[in-house]
Amino acid sequence: MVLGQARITDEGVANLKTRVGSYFKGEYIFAHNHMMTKDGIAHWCDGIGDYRNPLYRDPNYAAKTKYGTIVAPPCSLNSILNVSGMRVGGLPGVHSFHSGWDWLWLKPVYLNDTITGTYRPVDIVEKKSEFALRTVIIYAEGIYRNQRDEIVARCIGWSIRAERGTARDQGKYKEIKQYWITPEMQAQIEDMMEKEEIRGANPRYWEDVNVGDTTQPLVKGPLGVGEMMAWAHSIGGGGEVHAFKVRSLRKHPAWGWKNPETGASETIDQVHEQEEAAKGIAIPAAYDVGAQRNSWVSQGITNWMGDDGFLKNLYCEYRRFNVYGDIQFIKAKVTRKYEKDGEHLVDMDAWAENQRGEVTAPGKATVALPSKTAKKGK
Amino acid sequence: MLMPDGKITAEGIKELKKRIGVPLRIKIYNEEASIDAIRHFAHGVGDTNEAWDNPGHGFISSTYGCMVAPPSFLYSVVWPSGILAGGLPGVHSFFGGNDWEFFHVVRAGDKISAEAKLTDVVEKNNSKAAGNTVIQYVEVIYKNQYGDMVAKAKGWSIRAERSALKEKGKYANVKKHRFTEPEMKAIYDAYDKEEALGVKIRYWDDVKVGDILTPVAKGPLNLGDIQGYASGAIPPLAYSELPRYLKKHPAFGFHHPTSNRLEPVSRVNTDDYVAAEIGINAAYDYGADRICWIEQLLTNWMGDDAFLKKLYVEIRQPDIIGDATLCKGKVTKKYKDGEDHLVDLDCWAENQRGEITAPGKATIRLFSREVPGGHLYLYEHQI
Repeated sequence: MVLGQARITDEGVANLKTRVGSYFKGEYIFAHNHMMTKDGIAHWCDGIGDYRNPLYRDPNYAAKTKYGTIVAPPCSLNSILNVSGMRVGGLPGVHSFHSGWDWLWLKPVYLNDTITGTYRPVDIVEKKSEFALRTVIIYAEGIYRNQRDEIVARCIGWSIRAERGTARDQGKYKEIKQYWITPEMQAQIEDMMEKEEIRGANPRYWEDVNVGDTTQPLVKGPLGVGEMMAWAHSIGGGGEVHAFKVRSLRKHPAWGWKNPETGASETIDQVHEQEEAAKGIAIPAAYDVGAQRNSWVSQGITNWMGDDGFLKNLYCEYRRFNVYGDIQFIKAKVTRKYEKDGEHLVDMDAWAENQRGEVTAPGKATVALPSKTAKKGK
Repeated sequence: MLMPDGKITAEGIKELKKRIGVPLRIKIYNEEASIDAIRHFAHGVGDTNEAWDNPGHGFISSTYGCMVAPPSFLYSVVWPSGILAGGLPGVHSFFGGNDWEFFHVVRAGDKISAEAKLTDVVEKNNSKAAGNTVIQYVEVIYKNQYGDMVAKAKGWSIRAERSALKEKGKYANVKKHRFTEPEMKAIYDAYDKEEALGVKIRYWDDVKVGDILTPVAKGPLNLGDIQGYASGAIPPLAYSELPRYLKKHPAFGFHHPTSNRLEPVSRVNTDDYVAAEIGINAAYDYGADRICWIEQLLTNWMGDDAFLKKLYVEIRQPDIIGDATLCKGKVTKKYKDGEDHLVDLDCWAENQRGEITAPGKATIRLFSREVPGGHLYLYEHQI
């Protein structure tokens, strides 16, 4: 066993529950970005593969939109504060799987806005699972405020804590084989990438949208170390290297594992890069980060809704692992169309689906669209 | 071979030489030295100096009156490497080193632009390690928003045929090192001894030739360290950008052996099996990160208010996964040049095998007690 293993004990859970409700401070809410600079926004987009939307990159283009400037994509607030249950800590040596997000966006984030996040655990629930028997789900809440002290967004994130040894013994994912990308699949992927449509300046009017409409699917993958290296640009990969790593592992020894080849201590987050580490938690290959996949789902919607649309809400669960070699197709479908409080809204199902046809991250979204009848600027 | 195996041909060299003097198209990673970008970069280097982390530190302490970027930050604007000029498709490129000259500090919030050009192409035939090789030299000029040149860097890369590299097998006997507990403890002790001088001032008058710098420890290198450096300084190549780029530059790609997915040849920095294709037993670092480590050694020693004028470092051999590095330095000369009080240093990176993987030289300007109000010097000279 490469990674440390510990049990979920009554005492550990009781200790965790004492943390519910109190706001976390200092290093526990470490922010990658404090300000949404042009570079910071571009690096976020690079990390999730959102390369072509000019609203997030091109100042001249963005000046002509209703925002008058570059804005930050909705999920990029994750670079300010990552809301998962992991930050709550507790249960050292018990693995933490970030399992979902429920976002509510209230205001756009403009170029060079300074954003601060507050973070607190809100609930702790015990659950039996097929993957690892006894598990604990930790729910946390993040609130994001801009320099004008306006709340721009709220995110509920949750993580499942599971015993590494038990997960390995259950071996739920041991059948997963690395996918061999056929030339046909490669051609299909490249074709989809070339045809990626960004609605942009062409408003998608609420009146023109119908229930049952689908978005143009987005393709992400085949996943490899390149995508995981890229993701580090979105949320920071540097904080735990060399001296920082040594300090961090001294403080939190259960966050470390010993690389059997070099004998050196590494951080557990290498499950996303190194097969050896992933196997320690019963996953046959390195796998993506849930927040990353959720951000792909949001890109599917922002591509579709155009500059005048506003993503209000996105709920997404990470149900299955996205391992190296897997390809994710990001899809969405309009399920409801309605008016509420003067806004023209659509509800959508939005999800990530892999090349085996498995839905790996099901989600739901609500989008406000421009209306032909509403006054300009509404 | 897994990776494309391009050949060095007379025609290829002729094509490359045509680019001499022509402005190169380069991708800028950081346009602005924002507080966040400075911190991201320093965190990627593993540089724990508070000056790059806490904007308040620079505001209170330094003569600049604000947070400044480490001199190495310019690597995150653009890496001045010979390969910026491209050419010779399918022929491997090893980063060879940099020769830096710094003129101004980069302050937080500065906008930095860069221009690069190829300056020379030199053939070197029948080298022991790699057969026929080509060395390509570039020059990169960095300017701030006022149009002032903040630094000039010469950079070079060595191009070598992959099949020749594998066949010559210069590094065939270098295996991943397995550290024992006492060895790890020695590395951790070195980490513990590191200290940045920070707000204190190192006066030129107190420095003696032969003074030794407190070493800076790095490693044992792992994938996280490589990823960390890249996340602060090197634009990623992934997702839809990868097939798009490889369509234009097919010799930069290959197929992963167990998933068949497309990969760029820069996987030599992340995957052992790819590095093995050119006769190196494990993935190896970028080289640029090692120069940044050496700069950390120097900035730790000289403090917030001194100025790194020159730095020359050669990347002599790869730093592979599992290698531990100690960056070391020594004062070799102490002299005055006009009003400048200068010291020259030898500085280098050394691995656990005792090999010097990156030898270098630096020139630093320090304050002197001979100049009353040394702090004012900076204002007068508008550095």
